[in-house]
Amino acid sequence: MRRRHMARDGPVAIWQVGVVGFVVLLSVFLAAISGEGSPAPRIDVSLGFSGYFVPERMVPLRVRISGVDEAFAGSLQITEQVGNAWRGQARASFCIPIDSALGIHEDSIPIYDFSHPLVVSLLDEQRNIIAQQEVNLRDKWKSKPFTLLAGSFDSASQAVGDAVQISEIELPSKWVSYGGVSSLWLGRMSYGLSAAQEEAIYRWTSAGGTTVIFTGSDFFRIDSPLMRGMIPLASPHMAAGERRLSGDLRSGAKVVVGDPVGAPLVIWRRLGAGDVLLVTVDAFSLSQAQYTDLRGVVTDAELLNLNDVARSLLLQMPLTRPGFPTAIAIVAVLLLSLVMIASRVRRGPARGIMLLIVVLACSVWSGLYANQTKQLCDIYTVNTDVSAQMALGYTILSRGYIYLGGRDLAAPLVRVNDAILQELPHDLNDTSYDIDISCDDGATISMQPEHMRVLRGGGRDAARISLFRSGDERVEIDSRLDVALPYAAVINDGESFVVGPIAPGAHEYSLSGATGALAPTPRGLAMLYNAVSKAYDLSLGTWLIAGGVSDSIVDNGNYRQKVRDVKLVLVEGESR
Amino acid sequence: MIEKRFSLVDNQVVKPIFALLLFCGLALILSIPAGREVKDLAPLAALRREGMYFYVYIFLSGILGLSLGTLAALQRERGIVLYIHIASRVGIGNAMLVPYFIFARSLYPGRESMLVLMILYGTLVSLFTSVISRLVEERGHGASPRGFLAKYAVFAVYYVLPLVGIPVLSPLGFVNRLFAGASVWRILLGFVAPLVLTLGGVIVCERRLGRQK
Repeated sequence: MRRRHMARDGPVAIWQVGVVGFVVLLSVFLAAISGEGSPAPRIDVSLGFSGYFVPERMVPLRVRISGVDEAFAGSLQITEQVGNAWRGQARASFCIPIDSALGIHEDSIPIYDFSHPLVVSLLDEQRNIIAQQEVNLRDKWKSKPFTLLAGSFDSASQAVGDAVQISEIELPSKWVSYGGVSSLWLGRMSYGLSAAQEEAIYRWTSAGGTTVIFTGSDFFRIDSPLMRGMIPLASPHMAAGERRLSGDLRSGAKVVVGDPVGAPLVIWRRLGAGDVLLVTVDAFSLSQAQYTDLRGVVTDAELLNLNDVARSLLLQMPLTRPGFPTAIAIVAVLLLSLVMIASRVRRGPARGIMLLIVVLACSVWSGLYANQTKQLCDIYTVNTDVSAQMALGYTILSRGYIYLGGRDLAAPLVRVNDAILQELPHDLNDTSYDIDISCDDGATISMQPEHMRVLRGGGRDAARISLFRSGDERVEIDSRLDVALPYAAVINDGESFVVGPIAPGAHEYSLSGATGALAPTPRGLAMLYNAVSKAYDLSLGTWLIAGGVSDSIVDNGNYRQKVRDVKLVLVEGESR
Repeated sequence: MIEKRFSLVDNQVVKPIFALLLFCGLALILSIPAGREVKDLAPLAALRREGMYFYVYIFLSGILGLSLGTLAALQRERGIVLYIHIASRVGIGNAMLVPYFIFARSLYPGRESMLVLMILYGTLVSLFTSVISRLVEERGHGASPRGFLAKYAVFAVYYVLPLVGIPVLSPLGFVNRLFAGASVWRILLGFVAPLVLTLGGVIVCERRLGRQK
């Protein structure tokens, strides 16, 4: 009986195992299917121009996000290790907010080093890492800015030398991303340029970049009002039966290379602080020798860099401190009073009362003297901003900090709305050069006593000022700023006219009595103007130069910061 | 026996207070950064940064206490009168420094609480060293060479020895910690040390001076 039961139990157990196994297999299958339906979050990162970049410059970063909802909100966290055991080490991290997973996210980030991989992480709203990618930086770094060929070129373009060629769709749409480019050559476009790309190229060129534009029969591929305003030819057109772009030379433009029959082949013009070279034929119509000639006339980009000005201004900032005479006087009065009272006043209680009166009087004196305006500051800061307004506006900025406090500090010092790059010395051992840029654009910098930091960057915001020539000796300036600019001059065809403070709103100013530009001005503003006037050709057309210097003290509890803002506005005039 | 009337600021008290005022005043003046511009910031700036004024003050507070204790021994003060006299003389010495501390606000802005704690601590240290000085000088009835050596030996031990083990128990170590932003517990521990030592000194003083009455 017992054996029969056992025999019957055996098949039942096997059947149960079979059901359980089926259920498990089914679950695995369903899980696999559902997994295919919603893949794991993933990011695809591309850096630089086809991966090429120059360390210690701003670099374009593109990130494609997949495997998350379209309405995904979170951030990208980019972490970079700089240096090595010998040089010393620093850490840089940046946060880029993400409010949608659609499309490709493009930004501009500083790359300081190539020895460590860049770590890009996708974070959800709770700041949990949901996807991560390491980008190897060792393979495609270049030691100096390089020529960037965008679009298609003839094989003869190899004469250009050390160049990186990319499709025009890879061109960044932020002008600061072109920091590692020495000259940008726009060849035959298959897809054309987006408006954002055109604007970025315009801003970068006018901030000191060099752009070579191949036209000829390909001109229609890049033709737009902005590009027409950029090239050295006015009214560009193709003459019938010709493969060469013709037009009227703009003021200041000149032919720098001619073809064998003497027709213009390369025409140059200055645009802001940069150069534009127009090649009158397309990128497939130049011989190798002509490419070599062209390379010879292309100058390397030199973006306006205000770091030296910021550093000088920082070192020249007046210290806010109490004066020696008052301190010496307080000490002397107390000592003399003590001696006088002890020697002259015989009665004990009278001595006490008189000393009390002296102490009270000196305390009041000391308290009235050592007020806010005499209190020492821990951090001295110089903000230099050049805001240029041509066909498009942009800002070039530099920030200098020196910490004179007593304790090490990691403070959110910078409020940046723009891309920012920290200047790093070769030796990182003497202090911490860590920098952390949060999602709300605040940069936290680690600082130690007597260490100076200089950061630079650029943005798209420009001063909201317009300049119109309303007559031979009159201009109209429309300032949409909230504050007046105390120093201003108009430069008309190389002649300078001081127009005085510019109040908010639209006002007419008369141009009479030519003087030195912007004089007299505070030293800081004059230094900034000197740096700008060397880079920009202000001798052609009408320009407004305006600016101001303001000091303020920020007391946030942890540290006291004296801030000097030096702003210069550069506006190209329009005719009415 | 002619009983000498107590004077809060008698000629004997003026000397140590004068020294306190003079040297603290010099430390305060030296703590002011010398330059007019950021680039002129001289190496002396480190004197302010490291809080030299407070070290000088705390050091001289101890010396003031030693002098006042010797004075009390010379005047053979004892009992409650001794403590009242010592406290009032230490008080007047520190009160004379109030204008300096108000001025020091401009050198250490935003750290007013540190200044107040520093002056309270300096007062405690002065009280402790005056009680110790009174005790040590009792045998020679004031200003004996052996007493001089003994009280300065105690002073040196109190200021230096804890730096090796528990720095916050030394007045110099306490200044360092308070200046660097120590935790509340460390500050409390720092205050408890001179307070307990002063009370201990008072008890010993009472026993020994009471016996000799």
